[in-house]
Amino acid sequence: MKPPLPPNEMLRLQALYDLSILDTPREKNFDDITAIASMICDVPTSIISLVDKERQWFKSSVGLEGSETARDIAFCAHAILQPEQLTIVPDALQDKRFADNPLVTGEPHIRFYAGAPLVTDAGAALGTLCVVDYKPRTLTAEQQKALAALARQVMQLFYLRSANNLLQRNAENLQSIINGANVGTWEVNVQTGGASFNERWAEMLGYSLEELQPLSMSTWSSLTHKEDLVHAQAMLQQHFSGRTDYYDCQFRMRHKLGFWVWIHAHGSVSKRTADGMPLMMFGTHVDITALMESRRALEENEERFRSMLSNLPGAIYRCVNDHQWSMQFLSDEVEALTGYPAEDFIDNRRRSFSDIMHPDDAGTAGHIVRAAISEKREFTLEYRVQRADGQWCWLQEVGRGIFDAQGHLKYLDGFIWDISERKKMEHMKDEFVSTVSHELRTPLTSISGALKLVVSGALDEAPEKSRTMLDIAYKNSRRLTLLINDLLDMEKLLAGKMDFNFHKQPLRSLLEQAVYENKTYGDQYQVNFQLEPVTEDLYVTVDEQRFLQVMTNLLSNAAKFSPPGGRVDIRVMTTDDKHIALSVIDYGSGIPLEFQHRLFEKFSQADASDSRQKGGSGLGLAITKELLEQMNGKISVESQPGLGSCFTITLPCAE
Amino acid sequence: MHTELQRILYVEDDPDIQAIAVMVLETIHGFTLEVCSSGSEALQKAEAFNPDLILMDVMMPNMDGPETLAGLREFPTLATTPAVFMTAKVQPQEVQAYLDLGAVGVIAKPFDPMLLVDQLREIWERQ
Repeated sequence: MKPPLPPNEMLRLQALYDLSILDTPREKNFDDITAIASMICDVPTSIISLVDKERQWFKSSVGLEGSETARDIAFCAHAILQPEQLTIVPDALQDKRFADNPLVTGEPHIRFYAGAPLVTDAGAALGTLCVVDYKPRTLTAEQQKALAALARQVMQLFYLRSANNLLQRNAENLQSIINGANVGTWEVNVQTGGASFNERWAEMLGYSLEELQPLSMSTWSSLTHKEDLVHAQAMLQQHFSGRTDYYDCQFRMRHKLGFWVWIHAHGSVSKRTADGMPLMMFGTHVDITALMESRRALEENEERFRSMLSNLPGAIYRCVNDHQWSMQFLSDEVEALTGYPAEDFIDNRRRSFSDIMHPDDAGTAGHIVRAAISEKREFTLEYRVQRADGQWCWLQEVGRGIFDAQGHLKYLDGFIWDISERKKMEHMKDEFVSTVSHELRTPLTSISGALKLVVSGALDEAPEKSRTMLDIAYKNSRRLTLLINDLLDMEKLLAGKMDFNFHKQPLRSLLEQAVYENKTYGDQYQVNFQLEPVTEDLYVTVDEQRFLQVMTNLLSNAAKFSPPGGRVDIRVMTTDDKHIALSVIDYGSGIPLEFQHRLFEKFSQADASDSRQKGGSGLGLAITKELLEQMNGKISVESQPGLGSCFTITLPCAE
Repeated sequence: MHTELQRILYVEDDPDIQAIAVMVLETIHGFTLEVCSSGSEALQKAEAFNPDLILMDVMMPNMDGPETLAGLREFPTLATTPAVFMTAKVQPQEVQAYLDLGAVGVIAKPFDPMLLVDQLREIWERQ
C-alpha cells in the first residue's frame, strides 16, 4: 500500500533541506548510533533513513546494501505519519500496509520493522532511526525506550552538524573577505606581547610569515619607521585608555627591499583582563602607498596651482548663479582685493559676494550675467565693492557659464581684478577733458565772435586779402567750437550725465525738420537731401534735440562724402510691427571695408588726413551711436567703396 | 511791457567777450549799455542805471550770475527787471534751473554776435 503524505509535507521537506544532509558522505557519529541500535535491539539491520520527496535516503545503515529506495515502498514513509510514537510492525505479512511490499514479498524478505521518528523541535518527522529483522518478532519496552532515545540523539547530531556547518561557512566567508579585501590581519595579546599575523600582513612588506618568525609585537615595532612609531604607540595608548573607540593610524613600514610602505592600521581591543586592562586586540593593515602617492601628487598639483594663482593680479572664482554669488572656490588673492579672506565667501560662510557689492551695481551685474548665460557667451562686469576697511574699490570681472552635457548651467567661472587705479585715471581724464573744454570755450567765444563780426561785414569793410585770411580764421574757429562741443557731448554720454527728455513724436515731422536744418550745410556741398514719403502714423519716443543731433551727424557726413550735385536719400521702412528702419543713403566715395568695423569707435576716421579735408572731430559717429543706444536704438552701416554708403537706424515704434 | 528795448545792464568778467558784446550791442545796434566786470560792480551801478533788461554771465569769480541776480532783486526797482543768462552750460535741466531762478531766457556760449541782438529782442518780445 502506497503511504499517504503527511499533512505538513511542505514544511517537513523544507526542514530536511535546511539541514543540508542529503547525499552527504557517511559519518562516524551516525554509524555509531546505527551500530548501537542494532546491538540493543538485537537485529541484523539498523538504518537512519530520511524521507525525501520521492525517496528515502540512508545517512547510515548497518546490515543493508544500498543508500536509498523509492518512497513508495519505504516503511519509514509510514512511520513518519505518527511523529509522536514508534511504529512497530511485528510481522509485515500480517500488516495490510506492508503485506504487498516488494521488500516483504521478495528480497530481502523483511518481516519485522520498528522505527523511531526523527522529529524536529517544530514537530516535523524527517525520517526514522529504524531496526529491521527478517523474521516476525517484537521489542521489549526497554529496547523501545532506547530506540526512541537514540532517535533523539540523531536529531541532536543533525542540529550540531548544521551549527558547525554554519560556523565553518562564516569562517570561510570571513577569510574570503579578508583575502578579497587584500588586508593584513593581526591579533595581539597586549599583556604578553604575543602576536600573530596573516600571510598578507607579511607579504605587504615583501616577507613570508616564515621569514618573520618568531612573531610578536616587536615584529611590528621593529619594522615601523621610527618617526611614525611614537605617534602609533600614542594612538594605541589612547585606545587602550578608552579615549578612542578604535585604534586608527597611518605609518610607514620598511619593505624587505628597503623602501617604505605606507600602512593604514585599524583595530580595537575585544577582550580585557578582569581588572580592565586590554588583553586581546584584533585589527587590520592596508597598504595605502599608492593612495599616499596620489595624494602627494594631488597636493603637489594643488600647490603648483596655488602658486600660479598667486602670481595672477586678481582672484579666480567658481560660483553658483544665485543672488549671493555663492562661492564654491575662490583663490586667496581675493583678500588683496577685498580685505576679506577667501574662506569667508566659500558657501557664504561669513559673507556673500553680493553683501559687499554696491547695491547700485548689483542689479546691472545680474542683468548682464543673465543675458550672457542665455546666449552662452562670456560676460564682463565692472562694479564697486566695499572693502573690509570700508573703502569702496572698483573691480572688473570676466566670466562665463559652465554647462553640463544637457546644456544646464552648473556654475560660473571667472576672474576678478582691481581696476580702481584705472577708474581713477579715467575719472581724472574725464575731469581734464571737461575742464579743458570749458576753459577753451571762453577764449573761443571771443575769437569766433570777433571774427564773425569782421567777416559778416558789420564793421568796416576789410581789404580783400585780409578778408580771405579772416574767413579762414573764422571757419577754423567754428570747427574748433564744434570739436569741443563733440568732446563735451562724448564726455557727458560716457559719464552718463547726458539727460534725455523722451517724448512721443511723429517721425515725419522730425525728419522734415532735420532736412530743413541741414539744407544750408548740404548746399555748401551742392548736395540735395531727398526725404522719401513717410506715412503719417509712425511715431517714435525720442529726445527731439538728440534725435536731430543724430540726423545732423548723418546728413552732414553724407553731404561731405557725396560728389557735388549728388543726392542723399532718407528712407523709412517698418521692419516689423515694432521697429522702424531709417536709412540715410549717399552715393559718394563709400567706406573702405577694413575701416567699416571701426567706424563707430571714438576718434576714428578712415584717413587721418580726412579730418583736415572734410572737417569733423572723429567723434560724430561714436556720439551718434551712443545717443541712439540711449534712446533704445541701433545703428549699422553698409557701404561699397566707390558706390556709396547706407547708414541705417532702427528705433522702436511708439504705440 | 511793449516798450522798445533800450537800456541793458551787461555783466561779464571776460574783457574780450565783453568787448565783442559791446561792439554788437552798443556800436552796431545802438543800445544803451552799463557794462560791469563783476557781480559786485553790478550791484553798485544797477539801481542808478535803471535797466530795461539784465544780461549776465553765469560763471564769474567771487560772485556768480545767480548770486548777482539774487542781490539785484533786493532793489525794489529791479525786483522784476527781466534777466538773461549767458552760459556754456545749456543742458535742458541746467536751462530749467536758470529759469527757476527767475531768468527769462538763456543764451548759449559761444554766441553768434550777429544773432545776439535777435535773440535778445525775441526774449524781450516774449515779455
